[in-house]
Amino acid sequence: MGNEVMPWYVRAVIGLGAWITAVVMIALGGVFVFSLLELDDPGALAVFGVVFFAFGLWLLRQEDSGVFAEQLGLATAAAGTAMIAGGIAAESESLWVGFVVALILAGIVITMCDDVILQFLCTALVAGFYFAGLMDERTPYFVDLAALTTPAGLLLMWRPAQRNLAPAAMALLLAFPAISVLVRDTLLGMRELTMGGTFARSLHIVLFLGLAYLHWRQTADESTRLQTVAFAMVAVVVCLLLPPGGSAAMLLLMLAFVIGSKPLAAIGAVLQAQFIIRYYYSLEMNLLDKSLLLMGVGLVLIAAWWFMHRLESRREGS
Amino acid sequence: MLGLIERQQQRDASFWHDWAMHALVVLGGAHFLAGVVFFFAYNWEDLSAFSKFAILQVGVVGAFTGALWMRLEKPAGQALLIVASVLTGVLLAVIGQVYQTGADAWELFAAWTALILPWALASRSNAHWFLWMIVCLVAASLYGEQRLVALGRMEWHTVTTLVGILPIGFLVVREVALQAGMAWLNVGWFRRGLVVISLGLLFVPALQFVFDWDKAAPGFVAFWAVALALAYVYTQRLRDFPVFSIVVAFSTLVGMALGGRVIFEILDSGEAGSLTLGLLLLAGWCVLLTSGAVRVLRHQQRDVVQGSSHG
Repeated sequence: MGNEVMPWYVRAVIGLGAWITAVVMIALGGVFVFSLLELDDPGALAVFGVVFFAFGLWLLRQEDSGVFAEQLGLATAAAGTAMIAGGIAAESESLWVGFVVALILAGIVITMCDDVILQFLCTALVAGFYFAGLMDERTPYFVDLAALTTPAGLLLMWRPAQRNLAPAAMALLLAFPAISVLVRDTLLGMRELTMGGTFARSLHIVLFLGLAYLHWRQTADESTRLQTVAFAMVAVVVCLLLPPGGSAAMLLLMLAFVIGSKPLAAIGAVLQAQFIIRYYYSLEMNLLDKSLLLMGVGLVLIAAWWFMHRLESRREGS
Repeated sequence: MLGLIERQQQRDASFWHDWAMHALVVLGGAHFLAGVVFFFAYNWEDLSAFSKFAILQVGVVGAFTGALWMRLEKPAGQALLIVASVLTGVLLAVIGQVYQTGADAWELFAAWTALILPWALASRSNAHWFLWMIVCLVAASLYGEQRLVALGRMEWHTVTTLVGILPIGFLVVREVALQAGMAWLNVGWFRRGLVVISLGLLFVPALQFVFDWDKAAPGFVAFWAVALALAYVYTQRLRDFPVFSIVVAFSTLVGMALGGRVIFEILDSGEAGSLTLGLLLLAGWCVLLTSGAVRVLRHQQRDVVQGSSHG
């Protein structure tokens, strides 16, 4: 039984174990290179990482290798990816170089092995280097550029592919909401820059409408189509009102609805709840404006519910 | 060939239709209520004590009346009763703020727990009961912190251990009630939520014991006792694979920490060589534990699938 047929929470357990093991292995590589061999060159870490990466992939490509070898291969390859990308980034003193290297390694992982957890971890590393590169250079329009991970994830989900790209897509889709949770304080420290947000918001509207269109196209029933149109209109209003973090979580909920994914629905709901809580402390507008905005969003959503409820009642009546 | 988004024929259209309708009303209600809370937070300082009480009491009475009017069997009625319960807590906090009663925070939460218990009993709503349990756990935790720990009667890790066992008590009551025929309790998230809260709380003293041998031994023992009991009950008696997965996840994490402690206890020379060897052994231990967890989970999942196909 491969891990692609396991429930998502089992994959989460395995992923957590693999991630912790990978961190221990990265520490092992660091101690080996910098303390035991007493090398000062971060490039040596990358060389050590190549050995890890190759060994890990080799283990994962063996058929009937057993659970222990699978887990060892997963953790070693994940650690190797991080060590190569991190080592080269440190050597070249550029996170963007690390980003490109991580991107190439993720491509190799996707091409050469079927492990969904490794694919998720490697893609998350790519997203991590991308965000770190943007923040390190204090890039203007950070929010707009960071939001580009979402369409990349949707593209992977949308386009037909020979290989299963769902884990990579999921990592990219979760990247923007995750970064808006994790680095809020850093973002607040960058307030002197033009953070952007308008483009991100517009992007979310376009993606929302795109998903609604795909769902509409799949549906033959006229009243369901009408519901989808109404839902899309509501989504546009909500995305216009909410900051990009909130609209990204709503987008995840829409995607969960379209593809029928319960874990995505749970993640979207949790992200939206934490967004509302954190929004209280946001300094971008005063509490009165925030309260009016949230009440407006709430009323729009309740009105949409009422409209659809009435539509259903009429249909059942007739 | 279709992309993942367009493979919609695999989804349960009826389930997702209902989900969308629920999501709209829940999200709408949550955003609106959050907006109301933000609005009062903005104006709070300028409001007189009378206005504060009036607003909250009208809110409590209005929500309660609305719940009765909408009928408690319906989700809207149950949601309004939850609103009444939440506003009761806010009202108690404002009473403490305005009159400077000097009461400890645990007393507020204890009073809140007692006052909303009849509504939780009447609601027949899992969400309402979950809220009640959270308030009760906070009350117990604050009592431990402000009375037992502050006065030196108990260590903090003992309080955490006792509070961590409390959700298991709720879980037992829930399972007994379910067996007695209260079918409305039969939702998976409620059971799994209690398991996550219990093991999450017990995880703290268990880790404290691992990293500091002299302390929190009861927490460590309680963690394993609860984990083993849950694993037994939810694999042998009331099959619930997600609960078993949660138990395996927490147990693996504690096992990893325990292995790390033992390894570095033995190789404690501070030299680069022993550090490298220690990390190598730890990595191997983590791989061993994760593969053990995978093996156990796969085996159990196969049992569940076979059990359901035979059933």
